[in-house]
Amino acid sequence: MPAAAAHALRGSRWLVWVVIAAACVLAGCATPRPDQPDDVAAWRPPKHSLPDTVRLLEQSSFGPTPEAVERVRRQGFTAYLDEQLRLSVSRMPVLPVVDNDVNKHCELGELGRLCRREHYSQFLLQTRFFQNALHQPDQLRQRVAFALGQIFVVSARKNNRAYAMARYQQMLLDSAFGNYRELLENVTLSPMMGQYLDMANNERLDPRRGVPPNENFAREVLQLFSVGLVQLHPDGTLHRDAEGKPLPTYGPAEIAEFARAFTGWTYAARPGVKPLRRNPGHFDGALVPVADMHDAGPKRLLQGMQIAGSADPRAELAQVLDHIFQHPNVGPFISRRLIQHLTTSHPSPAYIARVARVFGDNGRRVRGDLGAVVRAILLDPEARGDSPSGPQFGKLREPVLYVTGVMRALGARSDGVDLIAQSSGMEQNVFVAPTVFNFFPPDYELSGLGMNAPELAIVDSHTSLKRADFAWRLIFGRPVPPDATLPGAIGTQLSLSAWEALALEPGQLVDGLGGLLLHARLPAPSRQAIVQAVTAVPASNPAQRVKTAAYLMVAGPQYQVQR
Amino acid sequence: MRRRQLLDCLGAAGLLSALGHVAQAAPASSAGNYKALVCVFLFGGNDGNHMVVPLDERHDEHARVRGGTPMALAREHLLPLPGPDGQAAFGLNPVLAPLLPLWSESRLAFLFNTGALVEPLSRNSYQRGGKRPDNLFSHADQQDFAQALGDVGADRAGWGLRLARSLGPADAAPGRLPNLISLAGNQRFMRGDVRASLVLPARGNFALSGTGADAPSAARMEALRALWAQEPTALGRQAGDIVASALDAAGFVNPLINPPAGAAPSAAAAPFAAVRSDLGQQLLRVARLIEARSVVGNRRQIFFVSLGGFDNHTNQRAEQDRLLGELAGALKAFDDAMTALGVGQQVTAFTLSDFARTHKLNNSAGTDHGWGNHHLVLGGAVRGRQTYGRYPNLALGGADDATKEGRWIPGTSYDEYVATLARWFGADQAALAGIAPNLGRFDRSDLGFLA
Repeated sequence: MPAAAAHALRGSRWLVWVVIAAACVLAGCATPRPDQPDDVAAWRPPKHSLPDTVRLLEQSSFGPTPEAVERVRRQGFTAYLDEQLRLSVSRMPVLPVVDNDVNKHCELGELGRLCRREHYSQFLLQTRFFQNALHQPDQLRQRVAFALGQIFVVSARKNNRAYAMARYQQMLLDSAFGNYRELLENVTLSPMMGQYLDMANNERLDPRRGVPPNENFAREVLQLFSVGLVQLHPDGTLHRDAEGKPLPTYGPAEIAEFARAFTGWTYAARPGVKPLRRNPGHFDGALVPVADMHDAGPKRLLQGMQIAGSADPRAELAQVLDHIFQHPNVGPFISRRLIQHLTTSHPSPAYIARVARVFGDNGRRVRGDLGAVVRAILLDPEARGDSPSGPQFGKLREPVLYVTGVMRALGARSDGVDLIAQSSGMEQNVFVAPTVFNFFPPDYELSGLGMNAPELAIVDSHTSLKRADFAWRLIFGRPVPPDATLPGAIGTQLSLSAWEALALEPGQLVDGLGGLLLHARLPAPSRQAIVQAVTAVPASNPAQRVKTAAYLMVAGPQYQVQR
Repeated sequence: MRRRQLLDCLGAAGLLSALGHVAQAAPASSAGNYKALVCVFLFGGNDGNHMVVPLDERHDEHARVRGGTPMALAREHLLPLPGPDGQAAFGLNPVLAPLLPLWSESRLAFLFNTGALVEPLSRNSYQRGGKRPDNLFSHADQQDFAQALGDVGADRAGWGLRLARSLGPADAAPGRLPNLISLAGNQRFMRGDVRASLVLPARGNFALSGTGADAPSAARMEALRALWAQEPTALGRQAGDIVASALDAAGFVNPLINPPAGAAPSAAAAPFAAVRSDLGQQLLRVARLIEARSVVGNRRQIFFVSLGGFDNHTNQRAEQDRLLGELAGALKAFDDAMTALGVGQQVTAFTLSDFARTHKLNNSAGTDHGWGNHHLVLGGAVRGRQTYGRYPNLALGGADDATKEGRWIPGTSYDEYVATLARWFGADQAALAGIAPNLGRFDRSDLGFLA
């Protein structure tokens, strides 16, 4: 990380330049060359427009920064994505395995409090998550892993041990551009998921007592992680019967069969501890097979497919995951989920079909290449262009993306500590989803319009005020001081002083901020409303004018929806 | 009106006006014609078979399936629920002991084996493929069904909203708040019209920062409202409607749910003094709003509160008992508060849940997703000290089991349950079909548990 002072200086220089550039784009003039020598060295003619670049960065990162916009415009979109797909991973904290019992590991008192915060809460992970999202270069990987974590959901509500969640989230970061089949297996055998959905220590039917296997993982891996409840066409629309009713993908009988297939796994044994048939919770290393816990009998899976079953849990798992992976629903199902997390809540069937085709074949006859899927989502004609492809295109910014988007655009810096509460106050407590159904459901609809808007599910009268309140605190509030107990803490701070140069020209101020925040699509009446409110602040108070403009821009509806 | 609303959200002005109203106790709605329903949703699928168990020979089936497991409820540990004749056919899980006085005072009833149905089903007709709600046993779908009873109308409104819309002009007489208020986030129950409901936090402030009275602040607030009002896209408009209704209500309602230090002691709050649970905090705010009903002015109010964490596939007992204890403590405090406010007869609380759990345990000492469930109804209007509906035959694979694990085919439908609540609340016969769309396929539109 560059020294804060140098960064602020460089940031502000860029900021002023972007203000002028944005104003010029609006006025229709050519983009000016920056005059600083180090900028000249990097200067190349832009390959893409400012609005399209801002839009791509909204979709592929935790929000555009002035620097990123200029870089990507000149680099070109494909080169940018190539680079992002290659960048090394900014990691989750590396944490040691701790005892399952907090009281055996942490003492009481103040020292114990820090121990609990470090090892038995999500604090270090959440702060690292926000630090990575705000300040690290591998934005696309972080963003896709964040999306995957909201599809393959585990929650600290059930297991708050930080090392366990850190390993799961690291796995998602590492798998983000890999193959879906591999990801599905990593998820299935992850001890965190094994505990969350009871895959670990799940035994075959006990014939003496007639106790059936636990169905939890079997049900959710089908409903949420792969095929979904109903049969899909390749473009994600529903197969329907003669009466128009959607056709189910499976029923309770299939769930019971999958539950049998997933039996026979336990946690890895703790180092130095004698392995048992059923090991206690241990969240380092994949689940391990236990043949005599596994139901080796034949099973009837999706689409009536029969498998003979195997005495080897690992062999059978591979067969069952291959079977799921090959189901025709997976391409449109997973493509739609990822599209919804990155670009738009309500993609057209054609958009889903184009992406699902890439899921089916990345061009090199590989099915399930997530990196290729992500690239297809971002470069699709429905996602690109200077303006949204239609009035339905876009997505409400979920709390995390709202927070990081505002902060990156305005050049705020944070260690993430304050952002944990900000985001959870808006109903998105990172890594602590309320249930396996995530913070919001993918099929949430706008009232009466049959249009999906998943993130709107957690916008209500209470959280809508919390959203505006976040903007208020960040922009008008005092900086949040660093937490003295967190090494390297910087608190949360924002300086908008670079914009004060435009405070006497409220119109230019609004247009300058709008270039980056709204890719220059603020409708005239809205622009006028903001200009009026800015003008109501005495000119003698330029800081307040800038804050007023920035606040209204991000608290208003144009910014709340990523388009 | 606009101006007034604007003033209301300027915190201090709103506070003063609200307190002024309390002091005057304006008789906008006399105590006589006020009614409230409180939906207590138990998220995750509550194990109703673990709340109330037969004490007679039917206990044998409980013992046969759950005896010797951590979920066993031995006869001698159950708290008897004597009926008017003094005989107790059923016993209560001891963690629900705080509710026993309500039973004795006839303010608590149990509704047995009630759940999602679109037409009556038996084990036979179920296995022959009889019509049933989509995606039984899926949390999200069954929460939706319990809260909406299917997809009704273009707006797929929840039944809470449909009930609010069905009210006659006298009952619907506008108060200062929407008739529907959730203390548990945005729910399908009230979905369909974001201006018709309000979501309030269970704790903390319901207010917007930066609403000072100086000219720049006023101009900023005006601009913020204008920005939302001007928004052209459907998504932005709906978000804007949510913001607008929040801004309209915040200044008025925040001092009611979050009384300033030094406010007069509240009869509604006193019973909650020792209740710390989140459900308790939600019900405390419901109680405060009911206490302020003359200021609020709504004659009919529908509240939604929730308790989550019931999806216990593993080691269920301790967590299930903890949750039920929390439920009982919060409901008891709420009932005491209603009695203290003198509105016991006018406020009815009832439970809903995703589904019940399998009666049979799985191999992790937990249970999987079930179907028909037992529900609590409480309040002064309840014909209590009685049970309604038929307790299921607890035999696995028996007459009431949809499968082999003890997933009860409901004997009573949600539609009948909801129609009974709606009728008491003031919906007329003609409106019931709109509120409970499957009602026509069932015999009863009044289960008789409310007077």
